[in-house]
Amino acid sequence: MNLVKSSFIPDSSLQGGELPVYAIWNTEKKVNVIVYFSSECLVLKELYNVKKEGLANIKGGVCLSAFEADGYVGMVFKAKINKEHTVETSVRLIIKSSDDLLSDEIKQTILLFRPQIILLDKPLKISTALHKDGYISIDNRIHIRNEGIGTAIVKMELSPKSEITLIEQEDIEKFVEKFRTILFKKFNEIKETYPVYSQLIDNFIRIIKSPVPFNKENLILVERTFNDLVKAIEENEQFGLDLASAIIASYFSSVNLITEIHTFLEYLKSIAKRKVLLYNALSVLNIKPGLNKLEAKLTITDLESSEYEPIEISTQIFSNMNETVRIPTYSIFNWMDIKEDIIHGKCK
Amino acid sequence: MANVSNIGLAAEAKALATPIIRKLMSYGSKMLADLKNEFIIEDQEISFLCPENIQKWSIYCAIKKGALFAGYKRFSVPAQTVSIRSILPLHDLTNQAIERGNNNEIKILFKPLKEDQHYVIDFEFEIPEQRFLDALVYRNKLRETPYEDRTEFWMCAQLKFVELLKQSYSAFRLEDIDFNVNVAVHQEIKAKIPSEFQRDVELIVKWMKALNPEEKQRLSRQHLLHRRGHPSLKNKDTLELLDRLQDIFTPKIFRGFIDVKKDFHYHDCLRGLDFYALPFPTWPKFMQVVSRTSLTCDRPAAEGTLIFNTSNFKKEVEKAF
Repeated sequence: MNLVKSSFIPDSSLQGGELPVYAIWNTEKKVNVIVYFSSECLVLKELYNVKKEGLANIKGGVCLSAFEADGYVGMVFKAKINKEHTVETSVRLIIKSSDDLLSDEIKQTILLFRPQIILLDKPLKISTALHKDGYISIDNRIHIRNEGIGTAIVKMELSPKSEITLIEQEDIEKFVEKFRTILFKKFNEIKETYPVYSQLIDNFIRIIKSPVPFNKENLILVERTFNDLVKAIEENEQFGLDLASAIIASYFSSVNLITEIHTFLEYLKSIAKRKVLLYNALSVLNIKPGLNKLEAKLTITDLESSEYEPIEISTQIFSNMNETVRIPTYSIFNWMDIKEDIIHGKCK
Repeated sequence: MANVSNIGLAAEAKALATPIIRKLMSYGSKMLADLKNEFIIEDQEISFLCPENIQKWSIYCAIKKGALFAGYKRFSVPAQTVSIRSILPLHDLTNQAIERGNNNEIKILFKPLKEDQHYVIDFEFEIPEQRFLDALVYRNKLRETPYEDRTEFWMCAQLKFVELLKQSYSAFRLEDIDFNVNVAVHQEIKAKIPSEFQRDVELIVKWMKALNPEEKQRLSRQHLLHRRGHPSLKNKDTLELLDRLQDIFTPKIFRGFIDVKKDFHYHDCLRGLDFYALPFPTWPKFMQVVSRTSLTCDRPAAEGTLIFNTSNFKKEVEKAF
């Protein structure tokens, strides 16, 4: 007779994320559940359906011997952020009848991964030059690589010490402004019709009103608001329809041909190699003639909203042009693939 | 070694859910006590309709002998909806047999009912707390897949406590617990969009933004030369190509690349709100796939796998060009 009816241990997770584990067993026998895991990689955060007096430490794990209702235990582990971007660990469950006659073992290897953004070189000077045919070349770009296998969301923020300024692309900026103005007006009308969702709409407005600071707290707020929105839409179909028509109407009142093509370009440029998403890929850097000091940092998060050590960038951008030019943020970076090497400041 | 004193035992979740379960139970107990005078209660089933945040109480019953003479049964419970149907033949009698009054008053009219018939009366109670489901169920899913050769996301739902629910309801069901998985599509799109098309779009954008006539002429020439140099772009309308690409993100087409297995089933998919870029949906980097599962007292936890067929998706993107 098998004791265990069903069980689950995931095979992979982002570092910093939570991993659910459970086992459901035959209630004919009283059992003890022994859980082995590596405390270097995992923290046992929560237990479900376990009595306090039935929880004991053992070497390499815990032993569970008393359950609120027979036949089930649920667990939540938290994966620690490891110094290695990819590590393997395992969780082993032994479910043993109290009379020692029956025993089942479940073991799963778990791959814990994350992004790891590495600055491969720091050029002392990036050069931009205007050619006869109007083409602007950029030499000695900053070489960066994601050596991990998790997605990195990278945003460039300039320091006040920087002589270069960062600005949104004008047409996108105009579009966003127009979109927001129309949308907020329509959202206020919806709030009057559906007062029960007014707090949710206010949260949504707060998020899209001004750029959200790029930190864990805000990313969680953003995700929670979007999830609540999805829930509300499922709960009240008419609310969903009214909300969708407000967004669509605002979008089409603001969009023009250039925005449609431009947003597609922004989409492509914001996706770098090896699972890197650039937050502000088409924002532009204002470069004056001659040497311009660039002091910036790259803030990095992942899809679990874990924050990583920012990368400081300190360099100069030289322009041989007679007037101020604007170059997109993405163009000063070379996002390298894992097998690529740098040759003379350019990608092979 | 694990420090057992730091391990949570769902105390917060229990503290939030217990008064709600007690309140819902009190409605149910009152309702049963009221019905027992005229009805023989044969069985009952309690389900939580998760997306709607509603508790549904279904009562299987028959009318007691002689009870029909009273003409109706009047009682009060704060049910959002009440419906009644006969079993064998299955017939919805709600319009004829249920009347609602003020102050949660419910009147069951006996005229359309028969003594030798069995009925199901459904009461739906609104759950007065949006976080109730989260207090009851732990939900999690894989945020992104680490493997290059397969794109599979695990999903897992587990009840945080069972005993309280079992004590309150002998049998219960949590129906349609939603899971939203963000399936990344950006790397596939990026990989399959030809570089000549990307350059084409870049030149169009530059041309549209140029205000200087000389610059506009120069870009026009450059664009024509680019098109001539790449026969694959001949006679292709850029906007039409973009439209064709947008079609792939419609639920009808994208659903074809998704498979949901084990204890879960596919429900819907929509363009992921891309909050890493602009504050409105344009070109999705993620598609949000909604899958659902149900939990019962016999199955307090469930696992599922969402599979994204990347090779077919890439082929579809390629076809657009």
